[in-house]
Amino acid sequence: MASVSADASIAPAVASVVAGLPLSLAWSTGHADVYAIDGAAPGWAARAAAAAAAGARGVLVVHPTPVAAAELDALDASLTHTCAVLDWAYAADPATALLRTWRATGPGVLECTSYAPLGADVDRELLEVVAWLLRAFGRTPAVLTRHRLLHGERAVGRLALIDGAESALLIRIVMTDAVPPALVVTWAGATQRLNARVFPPDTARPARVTLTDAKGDTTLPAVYESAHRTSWKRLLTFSGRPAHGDLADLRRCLAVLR
Amino acid sequence: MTLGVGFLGAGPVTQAIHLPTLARLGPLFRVVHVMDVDPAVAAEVASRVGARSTTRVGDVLEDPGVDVVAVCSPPRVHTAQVEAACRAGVRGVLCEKPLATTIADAERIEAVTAATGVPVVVGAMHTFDPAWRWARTETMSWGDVHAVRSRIVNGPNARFEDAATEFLGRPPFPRFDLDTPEAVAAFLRHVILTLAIHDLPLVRHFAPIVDEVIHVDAVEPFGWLVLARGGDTTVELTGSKNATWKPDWTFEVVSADAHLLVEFPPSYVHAGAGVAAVTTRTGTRLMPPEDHNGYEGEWRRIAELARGVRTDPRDVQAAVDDLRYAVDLAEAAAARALTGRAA
Ligand SMILES: NC(=O)c1ccc[n+]([C@@H]2O[C@H](COP(=O)([O-])OP(=O)(O)OC[C@H]3O[C@@H](n4cnc5c(N)ncnc54)[C@H](O)[C@@H]3O)[C@@H](O)[C@H]2O)c1
Repeated sequence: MASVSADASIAPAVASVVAGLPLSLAWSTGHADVYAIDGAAPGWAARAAAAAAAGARGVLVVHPTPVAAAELDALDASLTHTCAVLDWAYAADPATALLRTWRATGPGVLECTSYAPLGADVDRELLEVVAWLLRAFGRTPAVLTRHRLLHGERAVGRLALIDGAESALLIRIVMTDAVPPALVVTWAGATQRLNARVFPPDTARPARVTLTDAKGDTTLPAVYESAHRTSWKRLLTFSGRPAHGDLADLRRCLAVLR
Repeated sequence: MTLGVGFLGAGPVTQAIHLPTLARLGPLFRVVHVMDVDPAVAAEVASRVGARSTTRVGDVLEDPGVDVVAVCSPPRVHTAQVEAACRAGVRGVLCEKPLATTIADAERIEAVTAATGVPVVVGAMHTFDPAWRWARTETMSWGDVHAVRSRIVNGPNARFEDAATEFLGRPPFPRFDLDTPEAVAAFLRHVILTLAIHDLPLVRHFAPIVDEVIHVDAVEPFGWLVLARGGDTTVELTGSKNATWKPDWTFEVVSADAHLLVEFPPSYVHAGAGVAAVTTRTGTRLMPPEDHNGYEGEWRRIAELARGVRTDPRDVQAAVDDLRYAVDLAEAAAARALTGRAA
């Protein structure tokens, strides 16, 4: 059983996870084993480092946003007995990891559309998409050219889903209040297609992932677990060990955004 | 009154698209003459419908039984054949897309229709699809649109042609090596003027001016990506030839508070209209299902024009403007591929 403390701004989201992992998590009354940090609030890396310094076994960063390299260095240095897990809105979705065993057979056209409300933070949205690509395919684009728009952004580049076969990549941050937020990914190569629709982590609404070839569709199993809960379970498996993998991933994603 | 139809070109499109469509339209039309440069194709296709066959354009245009000429030849000869048909004084011309391959040619067609008064309809079937007609009305009161996207993921044509007819004389599918900027430029021109062109009139409706092509890309064997911008509106054309069973031909429009998605059936098949949905915060409205697609619509339109039921001089004007838009976009995309910079 791990005791939990959280930034006030994300306490409701954390509360629903604590309620859903009743044998593993409980709110702390004093010292907490694990801290949930609001990654959308400025200074999240410093707060995470402070939690680690105060003896936390784990820190969970909910919706991480771009952060300066120096702050990440400081956080890394503080994680001698603490693991850090990044609770991405889309990349942490349990279905995303299922894609890791899928293999493209050649190049294709990859479109990722993040539908976000008007006024959303484009940097954060783009970071989420790149993090999703990394979690799903194990790769990030070498170069991404960004085009800022009135209501969103487009970022273009290439992503090699397999060695030696780069797909054309179009990332669309489309801001509208018409449709609820979601990440919609389509990839079409010569003989395969992939379609994914991933929902925000506030509910356990399962992502829909479909792989298509000439014979038909394969729909990956629906996983009725919110990305938040999936992230907490990851944190519990690492807890107490200095796991820096998520921060290394974040560095890779941030490098692409620059 | 049944209108006599003469075909110039009797390839896959005539066989798989137009003959089945005309059969469904019943007594509105009767095919009386079929011309193709390949005499065997002309004769065989003509025999299916009890028509005369020839390898000469003049035979069709001089045939007093021909009221409407359908130009279904390769794009490079469209202009000359449309001009000849107009000068021959037929009642109407249905020209397969693209109307022409250059703006100068499109202007020649504009001039000849103005001089002769012969109506010309372009077989841009999506503009006649009930899904688009519904969507156009639904979106009339929308505020600023900021994203317009056409995605065409389609199987090899043969898959759909074979579902619509039995074939004679199928030409090989063009192959593109995409290893030089010149090759990519040629590929993008081809894709825009033969495939994306189906949706460009719809795109133009929401993004009437394209200021720049921001980015292009192409991947073998047949994938493309074009990102352009007109004012604050992005225009995105993406797609690929794909050998999976599932086509994905979608047209998307987004504003601050409304979203339109139209799903079109693949070319060639006769599977009813596309499906359109408008989503706002209050919910999603779906168009009612329709059994006919744009192919029927374009023939009904040419019938109205040929019989003088409708005299709408904007048909040709709109078609020429649509083509100008398509050619400009194709050239800007090609230039972007060649220079790596916006044209
Ligand atoms: N609306 C659609 O869905 C759709 C789909 C594909 C193609 N198209 C268009 O339809 C037209 C025909 O397409 P296709 O795939 O059947 O074309 P195609 O290139 O296979 O040729 C059609 C036929 O024209 C004949 N031909 C060649 N030169 C000719 C000439 N000078 N005069 C008369 N006939 C000639 C060929 O022998 C062939 O039988 C093209 O303009 C194409 O762009 C429309």
